Amino acid sequence: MTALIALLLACGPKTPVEPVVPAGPQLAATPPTPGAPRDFAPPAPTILTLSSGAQVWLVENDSLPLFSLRIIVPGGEAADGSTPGLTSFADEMLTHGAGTRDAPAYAAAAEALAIDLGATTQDTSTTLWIDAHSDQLIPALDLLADAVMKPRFDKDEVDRVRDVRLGELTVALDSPRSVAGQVADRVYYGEGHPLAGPRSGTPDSIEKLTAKKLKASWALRRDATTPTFIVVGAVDAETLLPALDARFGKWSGGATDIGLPAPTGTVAGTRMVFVDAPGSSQTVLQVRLPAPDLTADEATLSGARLATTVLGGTFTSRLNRKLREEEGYTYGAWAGFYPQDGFGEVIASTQVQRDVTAPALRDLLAELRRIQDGVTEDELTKARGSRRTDLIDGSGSRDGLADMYAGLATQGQEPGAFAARLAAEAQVDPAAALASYQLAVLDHAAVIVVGDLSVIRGPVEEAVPGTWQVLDVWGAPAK
Amino acid sequence: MFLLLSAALASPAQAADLSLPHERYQLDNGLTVILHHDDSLPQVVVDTWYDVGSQNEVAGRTGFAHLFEHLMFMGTTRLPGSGFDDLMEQSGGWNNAWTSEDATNYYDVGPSHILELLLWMEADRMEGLDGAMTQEKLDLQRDVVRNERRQSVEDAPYGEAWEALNGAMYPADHPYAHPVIGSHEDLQAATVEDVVAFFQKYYVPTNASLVVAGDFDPVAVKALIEQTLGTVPRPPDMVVGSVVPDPVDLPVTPMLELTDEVQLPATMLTWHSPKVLTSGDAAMDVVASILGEGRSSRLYSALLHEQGLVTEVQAYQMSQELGSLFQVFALATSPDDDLEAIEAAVQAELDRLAQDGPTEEELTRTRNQLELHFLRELEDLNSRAENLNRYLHLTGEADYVAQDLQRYRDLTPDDIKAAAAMLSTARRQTTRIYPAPDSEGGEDDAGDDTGAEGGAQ
Repeated sequence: MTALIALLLACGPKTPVEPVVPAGPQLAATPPTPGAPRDFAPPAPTILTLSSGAQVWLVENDSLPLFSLRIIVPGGEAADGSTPGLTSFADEMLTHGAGTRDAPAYAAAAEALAIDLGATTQDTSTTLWIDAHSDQLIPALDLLADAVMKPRFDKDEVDRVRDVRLGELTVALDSPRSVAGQVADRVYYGEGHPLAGPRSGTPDSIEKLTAKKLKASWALRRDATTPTFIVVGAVDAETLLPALDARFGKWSGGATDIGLPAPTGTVAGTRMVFVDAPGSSQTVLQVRLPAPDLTADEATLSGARLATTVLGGTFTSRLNRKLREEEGYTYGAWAGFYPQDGFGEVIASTQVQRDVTAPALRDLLAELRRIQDGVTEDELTKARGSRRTDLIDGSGSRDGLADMYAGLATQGQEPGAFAARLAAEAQVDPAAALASYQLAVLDHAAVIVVGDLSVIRGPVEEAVPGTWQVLDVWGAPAK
Repeated sequence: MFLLLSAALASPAQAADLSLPHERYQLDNGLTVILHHDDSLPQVVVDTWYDVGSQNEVAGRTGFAHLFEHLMFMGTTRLPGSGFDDLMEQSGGWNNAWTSEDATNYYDVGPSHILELLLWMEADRMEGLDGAMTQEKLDLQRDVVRNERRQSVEDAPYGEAWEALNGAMYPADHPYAHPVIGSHEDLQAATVEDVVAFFQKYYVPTNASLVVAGDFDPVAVKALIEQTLGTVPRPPDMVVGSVVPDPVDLPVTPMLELTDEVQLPATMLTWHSPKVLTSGDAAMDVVASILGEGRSSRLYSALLHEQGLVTEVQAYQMSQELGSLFQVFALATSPDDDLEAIEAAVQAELDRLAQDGPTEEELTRTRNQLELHFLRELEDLNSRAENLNRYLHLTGEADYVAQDLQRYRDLTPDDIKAAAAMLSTARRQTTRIYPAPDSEGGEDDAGDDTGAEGGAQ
């Protein structure tokens, strides 16, 4: 221990007594030009089929004794109906007691074997997941099978989780970024839209959810689908297939239509909204715009993906360069493209210093207009490289690769879609990117500004004239 | 106990199998180089570690190490302006960096065919960042960092508590007495001369180590490193040396009561604890896991599940070089909740663990979770590269992963019991955070210190 302490304290002078070495060869004055990249495609899964007809996408990788499993169940927040939070609450309850185990016993069984598992609610699906040591494959599948087929929804536990969720809803209101997201959902998607949320519910909606309603929500979605299984890791098909068949082989419900209606919140025109966050030293800006949906052809989607990457997908993107590196307004700005089955959207967001809210919003909107004028070939090259690197990075871990393939399955796409995307993106030129980026900028956008209105409201209304509404943290008219 | 634990996790990857294979050597200019070859993906990571953190800052310049980290991306004579990021991204790479109390770490990730470019860029800024530094660059990144401070501390729920933590735990002259992100006042005071002096003192090959990990030619890469990083001149001999403060056992300010822009009150209990990788550090990790990791942990079971006292409760050991902190954070369930009752319940669980020690089930669970954690750390190339540098920095051995895991395997129930007993009886720091009835907030009301680890991008 003494030696170890000495080592710890010795950090600093590495070799202080050696003489200075005169500078030798100089660093080349210009950077080297990289050669050709090595061919790459994400490891392709083997497609297996359970006796139910369900597909299993398996990528075997035994370099470490780990595995990740994902099961895609259509529905998601879109299945909430008129009760925000129904799906996410029901999904959370799946691992709070199942089969013969109540909630503490279930947690103890999983945690004793270091089996991470749970259910994550997304827009149009729920992902059931396991990340664990490959030696724990069978007990992990047993636990997940209980969660899927025999969730208990014990009343006491439902009440307990409800209390926690109510607390979490309260805490979320402390975050201007969370508030901006949930208000943007309601404003952009419009009243009554399946994704108008909030996904985690409201205090009123959560209070009304009973164990019976939660149980029915899960059973309805489970029984309506034949799920897709994604498995990546140190698991072989000979072990996996019978193990899955024994536990999930009868799980079959046919195909589920996950199509969504188009958002209605901004059909009549752009909506600009303030939400007050008294005392906030920063302002959250979020803009949502309509974009191509999954029914568009691959060339169009590729163009939109690349153009959005140019807009806000990397550190040197236009938004981050302007708002952070040139103006110093923010710690970061980004944009993402989210195509769904039925509609697509682009979301651009940043948090800026309170006193520069007005010029920052003006600049953000200006960049959203400027992208409509087109992108350069250099920008496209950079965007292609970034997207290819994202695929390589994602392939570097079992959970990363499982999540990538789960994303494809959620969108109803085939495992080979990544290679097809890379090929399609290679063909996108500036004209094609421009043509595919059919954003009705500011004509049908939602512009959300969450900050201290006593400071920012006047300057913002002056900088961006128009009709501004003031809403509360839930997206309802402020009192 | 250990026979039991080993039987519980009969895995093919026992500690002896865990390793970070590498080759290590030193350039003539003093730069330590570590090569870690893995061609399973066409990917490389260049991870550069500088032995400088906020502990090295001088009075009146809190936050400077992190501000400097931002300036490392602001261009050189050879690659001016935003050239570093532009060229990186044009080639399919990306990068980031972080600053802690103890170190500053830069990492570049990209497809393997751009390795030479990544090495050239790291050499370029290590050799000549100071020659291109300007007031304009400093002013711009100062604004960015101040925005980071606003985002991560001032507008973050319970940020006020983190801001106050370092000052409450350490005496004013201790290197950890101020948080990494620094104060607005000190950030405003930084000058170009400060930047140049800091660079020339700390950003030298003799105070750095370089890990190249991933898909490269193990022979050719040495020539590439020599042609790039090898050209950076060795600095004049100077003692960089970290300050070695007296050990601190007691908090400076045992009780703080703060208000913040939050809806629910919370309490944060903090103890001084053993330094990273020293005796007792691993036991504290296990105590934290038994108390707060997962729904079968003691604090979750007692405070949330059985007593309904909290919405959330966490426990963690924050291991650092000059002294660690053990912390429990508990979030109440309603604005009127009694924080003293929550604190008493935490203390009761600590006392029980100190009195009775861990159960066999708890030891099995914790061990399995730690084994899985170590395996997952080995999965990602970027993580492996950083760990090689981290272990080198802390122990002098780049591949210390098996020894690190063995620390946990060697723990006995009595070790856990002793660690819990230390927490149970030691004087802790208590910070209570209450919802502000009517606060204006913002930087004008913020203190000079704030707690956060900084990341540039």
